[in-house]
This record gives sequence, structure tokens and C-alpha cells, in this order.
Amino acid sequence: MLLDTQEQNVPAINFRRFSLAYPNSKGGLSLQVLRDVSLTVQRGEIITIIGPSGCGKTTLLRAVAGLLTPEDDKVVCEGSLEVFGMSPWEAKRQRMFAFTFQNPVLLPWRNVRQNVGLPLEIMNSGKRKDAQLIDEVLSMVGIGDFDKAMPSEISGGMQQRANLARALVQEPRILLMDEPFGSLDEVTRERLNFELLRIHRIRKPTILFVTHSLSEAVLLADRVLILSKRPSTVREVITVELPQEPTEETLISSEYLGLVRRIREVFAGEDSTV
Amino acid sequence: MRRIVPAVIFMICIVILWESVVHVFTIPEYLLPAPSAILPRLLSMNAGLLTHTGYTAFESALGFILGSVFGILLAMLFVHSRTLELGIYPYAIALKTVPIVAIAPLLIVWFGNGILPKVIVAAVISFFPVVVNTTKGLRNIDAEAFDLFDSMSATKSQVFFKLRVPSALPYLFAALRISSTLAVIGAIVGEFSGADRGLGFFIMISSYRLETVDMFVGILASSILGILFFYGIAILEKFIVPWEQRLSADMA
Repeated sequence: MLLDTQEQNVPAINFRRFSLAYPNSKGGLSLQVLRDVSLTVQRGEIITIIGPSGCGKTTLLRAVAGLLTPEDDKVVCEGSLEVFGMSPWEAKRQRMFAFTFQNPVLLPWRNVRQNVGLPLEIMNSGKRKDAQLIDEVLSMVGIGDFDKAMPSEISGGMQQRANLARALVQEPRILLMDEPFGSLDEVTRERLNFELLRIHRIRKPTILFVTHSLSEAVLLADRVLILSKRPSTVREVITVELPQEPTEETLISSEYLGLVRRIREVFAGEDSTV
Repeated sequence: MRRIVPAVIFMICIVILWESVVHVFTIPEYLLPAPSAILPRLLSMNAGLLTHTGYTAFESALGFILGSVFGILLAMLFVHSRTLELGIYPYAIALKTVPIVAIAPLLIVWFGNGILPKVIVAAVISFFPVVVNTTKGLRNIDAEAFDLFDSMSATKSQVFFKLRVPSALPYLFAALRISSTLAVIGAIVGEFSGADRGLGFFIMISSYRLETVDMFVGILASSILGILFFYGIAILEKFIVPWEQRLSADMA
């Protein structure tokens, strides 16, 4: 019991003065990507991350996912970054993450169902429950009828739904999403935003969500993390408090629009210092 | 079907032109036989020709399989060890610049007049496209796909079999299509250097006897064999790699 309560108190993700740099290959000046990032992400929170292009949003996400290793990628880190009190690599080994990339990255030789089932094959989990779980996530993201289709036969929006389903099938405690809906049209994106919120209400994963869209950032977030240009520091963390569960009406509400405007102002302030 | 119509019409035009040129300029048969002389011969001596063709087909197929298997194994080794690739790859490529025609007589000296030297020539010639393209295919993986497997903590062998191998298949088949026709060329070159059977032998003998019609028959049979090999692989490809647009092979 004591262990349990201790576990309960550990935040999902904890950055403490976390810095990250790529040293120059010739041993010269290094490229500082992140500097002194401090942020505590609670369990079940949705944090959206915005910032100028090339500011290190993706690097931040990859660092959390344990995709950057000091040996292979030659990154130098300072400060600390813990996931449930563990190193990112240990958390990755314990399969706490699911990562969705900017592209859907569906394997062209597998149909939708086989793509969504890939993580289960990798984890070698028991076969009988797998089919049921795949069915469940496929219908959850609304592509239950397209499970036999090949990736090349479905639209970009459908591909991103499959991408999301493949992440959800891993039953991750932390969902790391790198501009997953960036290449979709606005209507499709909004629809998928609401789907994601609905799924979040059911599964309650902790979500880090990188985006370029201010409106998407506000709609999804419990908190919006605004990064400065490189080397990125936390410029501001804005808590999003909307009166109730977001719906389509939220998008035209004054609270929502006010928050979008406020974030835009923070951004504009960033630009004026250039 | 409609796509092959222009090719068929073109072919008919060439044959008509050929036939008329031979008759109009009364070209002797030992220099350029008319299609009307070649075709009956191709059809009439089917038993003997078929034996020669079968012999060459067997050598080509065996050499093709050996060369391809060896090429695939070497490519897998290269992907496994960068050091091995850096050490061996340049020589594998350098070996390709040695004309295959020059190696064939040496192989006859080493391995005699039988089937083995022909199989080796066919294997050597089909080996190169396979090793080059398979290595390229196994390496040419989308970086995000790698990250995807990494994020799922996939093992090295899972990455190999679930990602590298399927990604490489289109490249491999592009190479196999080329190699299958090269193997026929290799076997015939081997037969030129010393043989008592096969299409290469048949063409040589006909040449010594100045039986030009038979030479054309032999050449025609060789081409048909190559085309059959090519389409055999192409059909196999459709079943094994249905998801991919055809890639064209790197000849290295």
C-alpha cells in the first residue's frame, strides 16, 4: 500500500532544468536544442506543445520517448528527465509509450488491421485477446469497416486514424504525438481532435501533443506549453480552463477565442525579439 | 491488352520489311535468311532444338538460383556488419568489371566441358544485380519506420523480418527480373567456350557450317528463353509483392 501511494504521487513526466545538445561532430561548438526546461506533467493530463518551427518540439518528444540515446545519437543531456520516476529508456523498455509520428508510417505490405496489430506482434502478447483488442480500437477510432483495406487505398484522415489505433492498441500510459494531424484539412483535423478527446475520456492516457495550430493546441489541452526559439526554453505554460467538455460550440466561444488570442500574443512577443 | 497492340503492329511491320528486303535485293540465305525461311525451321526441328533449349534453360535456372541465393546472403551479411560491407563490397563491384566472356574459358579449363562451368558463369552474372539491390533495399528504410519499431522496443530480429525484409522485396524482385535474363546470357557464353549441347553450342556449330537459318533459329530460341524467365519472375513478383509499384533495377 505504501508503495502504491508513493507511486501515485510520482508525476507522469518530470523535467527538471533539462537541457539537450547535439555536439558538433568535429568537436566544435555544440547545437543547443533545449535549455533549462522544467515542467511537471500529471497523470492523465493533455499537454500541447507549440513553438516556432525548428525549435526542438520534436526533439523534446523524442527525448521523453527514449528515442534519443547518448551513444547512438550523440546527444548530451543535463538536468533530469524522468517518466514515472524512471529514465526514458527504462520506461520505453517497459512499454509505457506509444508514439505517433508526423506521417502515419503504415507499412504498405500490411492491411489496416495488420498494421494496427503490429505492436501486439512485437510484444508477443497472447493471441486470443489480441483480435478482440484490435477490434475494439478499430471501432474506437472509427475505421472498423476499413480493417481489410491496404494503406494506399484509404485517405490521409483514415491513415491517421489507423496510426492512432496502432498507438492505442499498445494501451500506453503516455501517448506522444508529433503533429499527427498536421497534414490534414481543417475539418478532418477538428473531427479527429474531438475523437481524441473522446478517447482520452475513456482511456485517460497522459498525452504530449506537438502542433503548429494554435486553435488545436487550445482545444485539446489541459495546459499549453509554449517554447521559445532555439535553444528552447519554456516561454509560458498556459492553463486552459474551458467551462465544460469542448464541443463544436466551444470553437466559437469567447473563452476559447480569448485563449487562442492570448497564445498568439505570446508568440508575437517571441517574434519581436528576433 | 490494348497496350501491347502498338508493339505487335511494329513487329509485323519489321517482319514484312525484312521479308521484302531479302526478296527485293535477292540477299543469299547464308547472309540473311528471310523470316519465311526461319519460321518453318524453328517449328520443324522442334525435338533437337528443344533438347538444346532445355539444356541451356537448366544451366541458366541453376546458375540464376545459385547466384541469387548467394547475392541475398551476402547482402544480409553486409547489412549485419558495416565492416564486412566496407571490406568486401568494393571487390564485389570490381569483379563485375571483369568481362564475363573472359572468365568463361578459364572456368572451362578448371571445371571441364560439363555443366558446372556454365552454371558458374550464369551464377556470377546474376549475382551482381541481386547483391547490389538487396543491400540497397535492406538499408533504404524510412527513418520514421525505424523510430516506430524503436518506440515499441522491437528486437533486432523483429526489425529485420518485419521491416527490412518486406521493404527490400521490391528491390530484390527488380534485380531478379534483370538477373533471370542475364543468367541465360551467362549460360550461352559458357557454352560458346566449350560444350557439346545447349543453344550456345547449337549457334556455334551452325556458324561453322554457315547454316545461317539455324543460327537465327538458335538466337530466336535464346531470346524466347530469356523472355520466359523474365515473365516468370514478373508473375511471381505480382503474387509476393502485390503492394509495390514496380521498381527498376540498379545494374550497379
